[in-house]
Amino acid sequence: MKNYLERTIAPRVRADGGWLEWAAEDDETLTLTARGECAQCKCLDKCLDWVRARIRRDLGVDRAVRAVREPFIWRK
Amino acid sequence: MGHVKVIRRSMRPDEWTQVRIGWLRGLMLDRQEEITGWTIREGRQTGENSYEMDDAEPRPLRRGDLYFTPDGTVFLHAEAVLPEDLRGRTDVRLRIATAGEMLVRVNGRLQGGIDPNRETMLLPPAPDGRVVIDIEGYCRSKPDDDRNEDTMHLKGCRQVFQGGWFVTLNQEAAALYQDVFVFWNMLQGGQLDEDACAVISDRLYHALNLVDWETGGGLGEAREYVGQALYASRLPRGGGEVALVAHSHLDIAYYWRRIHAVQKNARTCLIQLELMDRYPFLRYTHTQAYLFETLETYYPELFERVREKVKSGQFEPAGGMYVESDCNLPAAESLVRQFLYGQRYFRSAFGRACTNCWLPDVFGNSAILPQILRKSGIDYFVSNKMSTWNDTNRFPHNSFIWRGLDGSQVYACVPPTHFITAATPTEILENWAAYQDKDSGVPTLCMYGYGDGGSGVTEGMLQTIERLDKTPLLPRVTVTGGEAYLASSFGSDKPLAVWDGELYLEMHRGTFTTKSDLKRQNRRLEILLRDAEFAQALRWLQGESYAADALRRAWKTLLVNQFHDILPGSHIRPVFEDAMADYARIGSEAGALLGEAGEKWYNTLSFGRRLPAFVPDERGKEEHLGQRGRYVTGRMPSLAPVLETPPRHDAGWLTATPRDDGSLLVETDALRAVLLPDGSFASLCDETGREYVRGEFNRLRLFRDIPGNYDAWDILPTYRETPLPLPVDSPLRLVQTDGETAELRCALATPKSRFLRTLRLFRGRHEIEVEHRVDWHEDHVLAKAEFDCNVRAPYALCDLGAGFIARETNRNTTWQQARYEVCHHKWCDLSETGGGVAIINDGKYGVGLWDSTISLSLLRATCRPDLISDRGEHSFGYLIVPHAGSATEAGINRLALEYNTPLRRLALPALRLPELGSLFLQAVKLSEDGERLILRLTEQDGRRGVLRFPFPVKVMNLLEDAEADADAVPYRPFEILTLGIGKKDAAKLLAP
Repeated sequence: MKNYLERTIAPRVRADGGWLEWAAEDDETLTLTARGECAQCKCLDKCLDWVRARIRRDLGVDRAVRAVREPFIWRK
Repeated sequence: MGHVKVIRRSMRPDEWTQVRIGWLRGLMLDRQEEITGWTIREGRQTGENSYEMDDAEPRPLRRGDLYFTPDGTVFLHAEAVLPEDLRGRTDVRLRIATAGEMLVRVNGRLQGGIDPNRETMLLPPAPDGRVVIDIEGYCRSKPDDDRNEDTMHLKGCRQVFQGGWFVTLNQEAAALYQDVFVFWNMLQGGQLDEDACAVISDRLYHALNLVDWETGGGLGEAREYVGQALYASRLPRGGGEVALVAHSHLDIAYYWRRIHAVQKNARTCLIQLELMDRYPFLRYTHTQAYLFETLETYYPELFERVREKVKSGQFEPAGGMYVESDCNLPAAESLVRQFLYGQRYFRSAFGRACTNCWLPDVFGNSAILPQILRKSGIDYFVSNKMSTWNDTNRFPHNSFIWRGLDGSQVYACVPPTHFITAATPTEILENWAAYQDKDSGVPTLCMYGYGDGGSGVTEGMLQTIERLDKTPLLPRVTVTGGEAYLASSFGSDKPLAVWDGELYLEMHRGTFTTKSDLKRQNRRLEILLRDAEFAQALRWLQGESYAADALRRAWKTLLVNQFHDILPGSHIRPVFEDAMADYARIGSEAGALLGEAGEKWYNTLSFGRRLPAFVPDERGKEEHLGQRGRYVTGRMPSLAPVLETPPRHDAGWLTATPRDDGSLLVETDALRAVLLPDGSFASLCDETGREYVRGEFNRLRLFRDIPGNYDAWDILPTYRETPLPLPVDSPLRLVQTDGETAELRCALATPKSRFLRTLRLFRGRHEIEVEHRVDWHEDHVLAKAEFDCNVRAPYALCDLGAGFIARETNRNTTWQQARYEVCHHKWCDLSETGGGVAIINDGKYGVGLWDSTISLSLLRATCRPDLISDRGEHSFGYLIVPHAGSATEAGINRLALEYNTPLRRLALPALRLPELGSLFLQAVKLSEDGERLILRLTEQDGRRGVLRFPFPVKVMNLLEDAEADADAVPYRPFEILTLGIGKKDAAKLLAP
């Protein structure tokens, strides 16, 4: 999952100024960290639906996808 | 009795006006007929005109469906039939409300564009009613690409399809809306006095009372009222004169990749072309030869339509440059090539070169630029940054003469308000109010048109402009093109102030340092391309072919990456990855063109080298920036093979003695230094005993660096208030000595990052090389190397790549205070009469200079727009040069060229040029017409003289137009000369 996110999803999101990266995962839920423009995007939920659909299509697994927003200036 | 504040809770007349303007917009759409049967294919753009598709086949797209994906391109298709009553009409529009950027073909022809700034476009008449719509679009979450508040809420890379519609407009409602908008905008803008506001407020309120909002009646009466009560009112005409010039700022890469600029440009051009047909007064100015080239390549039919409009005078190619390049960081030759390739393209495509340089968004401009402009046929310079973005001082002029380093002058126009406006009355009033050269007789310039990612002028802007002439209270407005405005406004009859020197931008000071890999590769490739052209040119003189196309292609790729949001580092991650891939390709191609082979080393510099030169050699015992090799010594004459001398082996020229306090006393045959465990110097003396160290010297320092929203762009002066610890991980020790060099090494580390420092001393030399290999994983940290020199220098000298500039080291006024971080090229120097210290770098550009301190910026760790900018491994070095005499007497510039230019393995004869004095051979190439050898020489020390040839040469401008024949060519301080020599004469310059 981490590799898939890094190789397939992240480049597309980054090309729009966004940033999604793996944060945690269990059998039901994939949690991402939303940074860059994703951290303040009004349509992030719609984008996460797209991530879920892509994962289902490409990896054959279904996970609820959620994100924790991390605006850039707050990063530790 | 206490005071009771009266609070009005009911609607005021102005609030009613605002509400009813909204209603009026609702009346503007007359007839709406939904287009059904849309299909969509989604994919991702992989090249300028190539895509990988997510969907094998088109799928239906219905209103309410989600469409667009991150970095995705959508292809929409619909085949529709117009209702009977709309067939053959010329006012039927396609309407799609979207944040996407759409290029629309109708019945196979590129017809128009829809984007966040416009939701309708006119359709061609369809007598048979059949309309086939094909749309290519993408939706980018750009944070500031458009300035249209109406569509800000739509942003995001996933969108809900709002449907596509055939619509017609209620022309009367639309006209009334525009009439009302002009005055409403003035009322809200805060530029008018109370009395004028009261009149406008009252009359707008009454005008809208005449509309029957239930039936839509009364629109004509309201228009008539506005005409009489406002446009023809007794409100006075305002003073001043404002020239409106349409343009669209188009960043080739920024929050999008270079490949996406192709479609952004096509959409922008298409929209403007379509408007020109309906608004004949529109004159549109469009820059960057690269954009025209991509249009010609990928949209040839559209390019032909542009060419027609160029002929008719409505579409104006402008700017002269290949791209709107950064003007701080590129070498002089790169800036020359921007104009050489840009202007030659404009000549070949449109029959004439540009007369202006149009750089509204570039982060400051080097003092070498005016000369390059004048010698490239450019008389006018247009920017915007200094007047609207300076964070400390108000730039004192908007219309002025800009004088460069060598004394060349151009007319400069730096308008007082932003370069992206909608030509609203308020923006026009603000522009005139802020204009500082009102008494010069030059009208002020107001650029209009949406931009950053293109888009340009909207129909609404043009309809506003149509009304400005009859609008009271406004300055006189002229609608014109960029070239016509500049040519008619500036001239020797105008009393213009002169600004002498660089146009320093008091902002974005971090762009000299952010993305250090780009800066380093750019420097390396500028030098590699110089040497590749040199080698190709000498082989051409020997009868071989010259790879003109391949060299031009490599140069152009380098130039594109010098765009002002690429090389400065202000972009998203994929832009960086694209640039690095381009650099790798240029390096490989230029390396092949250089054609290194054999065992003989060649000095491509136009003067004899003095420093031992590192060359890669697997058998070598030394290592330089991670590469194994050895140091070559011997005779290294100008433009000639090197005569190596065998290395010496006795290491007795250096001693290193540990001292009780943990420092190390290092003595060589030229220097005596006391070195501290972190690699900094407690003392540095030459053989005369002259001390060069005053305080912390060669000290690595880290600072917290959080400038705010403009993270990649800015360094704030407050960085010095938060130094961070950088402890010694491994103290300095002598690790290697041989007959020519000695190395001392230490390591410094934070919990996240590690600096491995190597100090290299050379036998018999004063220069000390400091090499760094860094594993860098900080966030929001600035790394600097600082040198507190024992020098009283009121001025610091900074290399500009073709000459140097003197900058004050005091902090007396806000002008000096604002320059706490400046751009330099290969070296900077602090000297007093008798001696000083120079720091020569191999790819660093940002530096702070105050009192006796040089503070060289090494690395940043910014998080916006690229979250991992600069993280990872870095290798770089610099030379510390304590010297007698001034920087010019010490030959610092030549040392810097040596340090940055490797010896090459070339089996070429010597090139015997006349005595060049302080001229540097910046480029040797075949002329663009293939007829002669071109020598580009830059005076580097601030001297004048005469260059004498044994035969006449062509004295040329930078575009390679011959201007005179001469065998004695005089030159002035910091002049750039371009000389053309016929092949037969040039061949005589080769040594047998």
